[in-house]
Amino acid sequence: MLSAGSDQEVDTDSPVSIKILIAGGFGAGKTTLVSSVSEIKPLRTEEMLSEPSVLVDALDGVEQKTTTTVAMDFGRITVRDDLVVYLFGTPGQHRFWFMWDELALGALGAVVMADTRRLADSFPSVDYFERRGLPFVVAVNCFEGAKRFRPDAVRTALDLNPDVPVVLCDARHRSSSRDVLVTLVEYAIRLISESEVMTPG
Amino acid sequence: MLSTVTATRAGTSSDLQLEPEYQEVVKRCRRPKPVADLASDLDLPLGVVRILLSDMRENGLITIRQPARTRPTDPQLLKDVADALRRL
Repeated sequence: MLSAGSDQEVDTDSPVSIKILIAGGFGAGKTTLVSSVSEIKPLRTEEMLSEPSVLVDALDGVEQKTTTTVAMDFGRITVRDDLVVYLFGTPGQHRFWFMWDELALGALGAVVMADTRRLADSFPSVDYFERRGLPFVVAVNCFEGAKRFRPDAVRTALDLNPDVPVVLCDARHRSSSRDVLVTLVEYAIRLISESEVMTPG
Repeated sequence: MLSTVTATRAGTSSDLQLEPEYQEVVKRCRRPKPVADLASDLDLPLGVVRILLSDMRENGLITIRQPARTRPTDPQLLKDVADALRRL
C-alpha cells in the first residue's frame, strides 16, 4: 500500500498514535483537563493572523502576512509500547480553525469543554465537529460558584443530537477527566459498531 | 503533527558532522517520533520544525511517515485504549 516514488509512506510499523482533540473557549478548562490526565508538554505553533485582524492592526509599510506564536495544550498517555494517546487542546475561536483541520484528520474524536457561565463559547466547537462528522462528547466543567446545570439542560441549550454524550466533570481531578475520555472512546466504539450494522459487508 | 520522523542510516552515521539543530533531531529520532513530540522536545514552533525536517529529508538524513488519515476503527484497538484510560 505504499505510494510509489514517495517517501511519505503510510505508517505501518511505528507505534499507533491515537489523537483526541480537546476544544472549548478560553478558560473552559482545556489545559486543566489535559494536565490532569497526561504528561503535558509545551507545544508552540504559528498563527497566521486572519485578514480582519490584519486590517485592524495594519500599519503602512508593514508586511501583509503576519504570524504570531500560539501555545497549544499537548499531552501524551502511553497505553503500551506500541500505542500512545495524544491530546491536543486548541482554542475554540474561528481564527484557530486552520489548526483544527489538520488536527481533526485521523482523530478518534473530540471533547468539547463547556463552561455553563459562557455556554455560547462552545457553539463554534460543536458546529465544527458536527460538520466534520467527528465523534465528540460535551464535558461540562463544574466550576466552583457556577450554577449547576443538568446535562439535559446543556444538551437543549447546545441543540445537540440525542446520542451525543453530555457529562459533568471537574477537570482538576484526574478521575473525572479520565471518565470524560473513557466516555468519548466508548462512544466512538458504539458509533463504529452501529455503522457496521447499517452497512453490512 | 503525528507524522513520524526516523533518522536514516546516513543521518545517524554523519551525526557529528551535522549542524547542531540537525544533530538534535537525529539524536531524538533513532526510533520513530511524532513531529509534535519532536517540536515539544526541541522547544521550537511546529512551523520551524517542519522547515527543518523538510530540509533534512531532502538531504536524506531522515524519513517521514504519515499517520493514518482516517479515523481509527478497529474496535479491539479502541477497547484497549478505553481499558488503559480506565486504569489511569
